[in-house]
Amino acid sequence: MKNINFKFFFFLFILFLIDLINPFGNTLSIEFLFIGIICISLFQKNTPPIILCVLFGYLKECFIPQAKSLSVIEFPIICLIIRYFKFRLFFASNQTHNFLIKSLIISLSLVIHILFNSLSLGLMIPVLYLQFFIQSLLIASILNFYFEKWLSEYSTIF
Amino acid sequence: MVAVFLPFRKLIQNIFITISKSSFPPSKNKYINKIEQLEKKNLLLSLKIKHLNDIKNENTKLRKALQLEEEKTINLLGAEVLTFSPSNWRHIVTINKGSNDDIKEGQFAIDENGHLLGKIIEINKTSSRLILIDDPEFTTSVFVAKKDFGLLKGNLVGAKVLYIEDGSELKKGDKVWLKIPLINFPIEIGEIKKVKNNENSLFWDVDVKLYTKNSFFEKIFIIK
Repeated sequence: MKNINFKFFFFLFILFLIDLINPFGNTLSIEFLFIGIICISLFQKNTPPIILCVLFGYLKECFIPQAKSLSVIEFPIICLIIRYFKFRLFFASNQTHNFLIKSLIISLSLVIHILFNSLSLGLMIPVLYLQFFIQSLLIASILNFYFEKWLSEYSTIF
Repeated sequence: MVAVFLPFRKLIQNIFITISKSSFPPSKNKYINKIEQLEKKNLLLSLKIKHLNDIKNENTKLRKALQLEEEKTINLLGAEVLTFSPSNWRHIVTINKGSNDDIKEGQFAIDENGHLLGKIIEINKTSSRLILIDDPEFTTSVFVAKKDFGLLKGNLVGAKVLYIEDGSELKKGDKVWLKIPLINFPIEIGEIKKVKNNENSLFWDVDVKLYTKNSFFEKIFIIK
């Protein structure tokens, strides 16, 4: 379990660094740390990684002050929502690795993130939201696939 | 039958033309005419420069007589982009010039084509932060077409000009530009994309298509 948490931390830290360096400029509308939060929330079964969500939310607030969103609150909320829907949908369908259900949960998290940010900005920009949604959904699906592969040795927990 | 030999005929013609061009260069007269034309052009340009210098002197004298402040010459400082803002919802960049390079808050930055990129909002010793023109918190007063003016505000995918009372004469493609005080040099920002009369408001909705592509760039120029 300790190893898993360390892997989670390492994974989120790498994504946080990518966000901080932002090597793609404004060409990509993706928040890697947020996608990482989705991935670990989707993976974890027993204890939701809320502490990690709060920690990285706080780090984001400290190091990325331009982002007006309340990540300290938003990340744990997203984590809990994912956990709730994951159990509802996965156990209702009796499938633990349904791609469609995962995509649905990722989409829901992205919509919540968009809502959070549009409220804090006070702006309504459909083009940007659509761009963010499509790019993030694609990257989140790919990242989630490889993330689960990376943690495959702990598959008994899932 | 003619059509069959047509490509060969063209080939032979081309060979002849090439040989004749290389063996018989253009005559001396042709060069002399060209030199004369260029000399004429040169003379006209030098006269134009003289005329412009006269106008400039006259302008300086008139400014002095009217007790207006003297115009500054445009001075650019090149800077490199260090990082882009990690947030998707803000467009801010960090550049490698700061207070050590005499950069001040509120100075404007342009790209290599002379289009407005943004404004300095925060200064450190060796770096500063530049808010890009399409950031939601970027605002500056701008001129629209020839006589209207309003407040330009970014919206992440472009910009809008606010507080245009009468936009009936504005049309798509009209230029949006900025004039920095004491520098007699208009800086282009973009052109009007859409003008709409907002029935619920006193002001018109004016959408602007920006000239700069803010997605990725490495070098900027700060107007000092």
